[in-house]
Amino acid sequence: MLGMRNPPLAWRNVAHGGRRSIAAISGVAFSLVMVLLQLGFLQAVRITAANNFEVLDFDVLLTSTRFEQFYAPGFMPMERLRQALETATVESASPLYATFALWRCPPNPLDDPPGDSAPPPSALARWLAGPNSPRPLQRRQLFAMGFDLDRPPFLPPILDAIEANEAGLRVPGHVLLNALSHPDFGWWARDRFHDWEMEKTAVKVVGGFEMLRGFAADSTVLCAADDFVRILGYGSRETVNLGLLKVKPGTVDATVAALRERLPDDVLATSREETIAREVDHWVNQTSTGKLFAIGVAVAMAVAAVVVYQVLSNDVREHLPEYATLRAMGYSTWRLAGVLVLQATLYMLFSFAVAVAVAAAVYRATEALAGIPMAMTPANLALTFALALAVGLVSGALTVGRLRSGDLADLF
Amino acid sequence: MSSATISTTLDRAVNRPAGTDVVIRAVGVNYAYGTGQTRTQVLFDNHLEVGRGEVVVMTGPSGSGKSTLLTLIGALRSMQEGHLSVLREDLSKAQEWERVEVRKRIGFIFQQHNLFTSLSALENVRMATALKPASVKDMNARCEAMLERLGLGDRVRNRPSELSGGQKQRVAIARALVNGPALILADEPTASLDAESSGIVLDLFRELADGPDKTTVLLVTHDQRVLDKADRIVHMIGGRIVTNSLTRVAVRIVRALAATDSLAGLSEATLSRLATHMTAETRGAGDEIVREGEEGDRFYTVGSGVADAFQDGRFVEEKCFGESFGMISSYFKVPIPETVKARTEMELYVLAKDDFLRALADDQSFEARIRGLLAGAAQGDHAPASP
Repeated sequence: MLGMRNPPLAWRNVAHGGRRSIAAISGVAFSLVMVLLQLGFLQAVRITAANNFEVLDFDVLLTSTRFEQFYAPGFMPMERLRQALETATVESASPLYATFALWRCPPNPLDDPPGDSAPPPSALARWLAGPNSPRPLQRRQLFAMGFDLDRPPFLPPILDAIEANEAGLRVPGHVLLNALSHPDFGWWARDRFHDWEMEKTAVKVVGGFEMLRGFAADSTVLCAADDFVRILGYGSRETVNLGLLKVKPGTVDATVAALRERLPDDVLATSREETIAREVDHWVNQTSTGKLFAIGVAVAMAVAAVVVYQVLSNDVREHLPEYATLRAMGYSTWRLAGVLVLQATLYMLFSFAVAVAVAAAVYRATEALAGIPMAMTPANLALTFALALAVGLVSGALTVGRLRSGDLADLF
Repeated sequence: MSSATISTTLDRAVNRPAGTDVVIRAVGVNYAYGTGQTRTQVLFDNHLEVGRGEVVVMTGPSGSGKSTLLTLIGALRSMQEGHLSVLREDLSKAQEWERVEVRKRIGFIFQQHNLFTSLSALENVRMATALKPASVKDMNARCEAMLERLGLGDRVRNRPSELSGGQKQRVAIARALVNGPALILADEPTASLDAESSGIVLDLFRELADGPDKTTVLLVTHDQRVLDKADRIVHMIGGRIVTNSLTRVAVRIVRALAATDSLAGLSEATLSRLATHMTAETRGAGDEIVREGEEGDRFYTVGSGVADAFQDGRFVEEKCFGESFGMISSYFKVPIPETVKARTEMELYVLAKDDFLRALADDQSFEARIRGLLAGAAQGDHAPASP
C-alpha cells in the first residue's frame, strides 16, 4: 500500500472499520438487492410481455384497432387475413384465437382433497407448502389459444410439442397444457386426473409445452381452432383475434405500409419488432407497473444513501480531531472530501458485489417460487452500479458539512 | 497602547528577536469570543516578535490566552484586531485559502496525538508528506528516517493501537516535522513522554533551530526541562504577555546588573525583572554617551566594550562590563555627574526613565534599594551612584 503517493486512508477506514463497515456494506447491499429485485421484476414484465409474441411465428401482425395488449386483443374478421394474402409480398396468413377461459383445476391431494367448507390455509401456510398446499377442486382462469392445426403459427420448441401431439390434438376436446403453469392448474397431475374442464366443457390434456408464465395469466392451454371456437363460444372460425402473416424476406416494412393502405380501418398491421416494442411499452409504461418498480428503485436507493451517510457521518464524527489535524496541516476541505467520497464509493463497490451475489440467489428463488423469469441483464447491472456510485458520491459530498463542523482552534 | 509604547516595548533588549529575520510579528493583537453581551475578550494588546531559529517557550496559567494566541499564529483562526504576520505572510486579513497555504509550512504538535487508528505509524506520517509530494521512495525514506530519529525505527508498521501513549505522541511529532516546517507550534509536546523520549524530542527541536534551516519553534509547556532549551520565554497572564525575554540576552543583562556595585545583593528574580525593562544599544568608539552637567533621563550598564569617564575634563575612571553610569535627573534631582565616552565598540543596556519608574513599581526590592541610595546620598550630600 505504501507504493501509493497518498496513504490509502479511505481504503483503510473501510478495511479496519469493523462493525461500522459491516453495517454500511450490509445495509447498502440490502438496498441494492432491493433495487436489483425491482429491476428484475421490471425486466420480467418486459420478458413475459415480449415472450407471448416471441413464441409466435410471424413477420407482420394484424390486429383489431381495439387491440390493447396480448391478453385483450379484440376481434377482427377472418376476411382481413384473406385480403392480406392478396398482397404480393404476403406468403401466408394464420389466424390465432386467444382469450381467457375458466379451467377446472385438480384438487390436492387428488385422493383426499379438503372439502369446500374447510377453512382455506393461511397465506403463510400456502407459501411454505408451495405446490403441495392442500386445495379443493377449483376453477381458475388461464389463457387459451386456438390455431389451425395444419399451419401452427408457433416457433420451436412449442411448435415441436404441437407436432409431437398433432394426432391427439385433432381429436375434439384434446388440449396441450403449459408445463410451466402454476401448480394449481394441475400439470403435475396430468396422468392421474381425468376430470379436466375448460369453460364447462370436458377436455383431456394430451401433452404439454413450455411457455413462460406472465403477470396476467398463470397458465396457458393450446388447442385446435375448431375446439377453441366450440368451447369458448366464438360461433365460427370467421371471427379471429390475431392475424399472423409471414412475408417475403426483406419486405416487412413495405408489406406493413401496403397493408395499412389496402386494408379497412378496423385492423392495424405492425411489424414483429413494432409489435413486441408496443407490447413491452404497454406493460412497462402504460400500466402502473413501470412506475411502481421505479418508485421501488428510488426508495431503495434513498435507503442506501441514508445508510452510507449515517455510517460516514458517524465515522467522521468519531475521527473529527484526526480530520481537523489534517486540515490544520494544510489539507483543504475538498481534498478531505475526496477521501470521504472515495470511502463512500468503496462501501458502494463492496455492497454492489455482495448485492449481486445475493440477488442472483434471490432471482433463482423467485423464479422457482413464482415462476417469473428473472434475468440479471448487463443493462440492469450497469444501472444499479451507476446508481450506487451516484449515491456514494452524493452521500460522501453531504458528509463534507460534518467535516467542517470540527473547529481547528479546538486542537490546541 | 500608543504606538510610541509599542515601539518601546518591542525595542527592549530582551523582547527583540534574536536575529533580523523575524518570522512572527504580532502587534496590538486583541481577540474576543462571542458577540454582544456574551463577548469575552481573551487577548489584550499583545506584542511579540520572534526571530528565525528561536526556540520560544510560552507559559502561563490556564485561561491566560496562550492557546488562543497560538491558534492565531498557527493560522487556525482568523484575526480580529491588530496585526499579525507569520512566515512573512500577513494573517491580519487573510482568507481561509491563504491560511491553508501558511499552515502547510507549519508543523503542528497537539496535546492529543490525533492519529488515524486505521493507518500504521509510517502511513500516519505519510499523510504529511502527501502535502509535499516527492517520489514514493523518497517520502518513505524521509518518514522512516524521522521515525527512526524519534526512536520508533522498529515500530513503523505498527498501528496506533499497538503503540504506547508516548510512542503515539512521537509519531505525531514525526508527522509534524517530516516536511521540514519553517515553524513548529507545539502544545505540551513532552507531556506524555518519559525523560529519555523528552530529551530526544527537545534535542531535535534545538537541532532544527540551530541547523541550516533555522526552524523556529514555539512551545506551550509547563515542562521545566524545556526551559533549558529555550531562547525566549513568553509568559502570559489574563490575556496579556507579561514577560517576553530572550533568555540569553536576559542572562547577559542580569550578569551585568549583578556586577553593578549599587545593585549588589539583589535577588536574581529582581534583576531578571529589571532586565525585562532594559533596551540594548550599541555605540562606536569615540562616541560621547552622556555629558556632565546635563539633565539625564537614562541609566546605562556596560554589556561589552570599554568607556572613559571624565569629570571637569579630567579622566576619572574607565567603565567596563557591569559598571553603570548616567542619571535620571528628574527623579534624583541631580544632573549627570560625569561625561562618558566610548573607547571601543560597546553594547549598553539602557534603562529609560519610564521603564525605570515601572521597574520601581514592579519590584519592591529594587524600589527599596533605590530609596536606600537616595537616603545615602542625602546623608552624604552628594549625588547617588547609578543603580
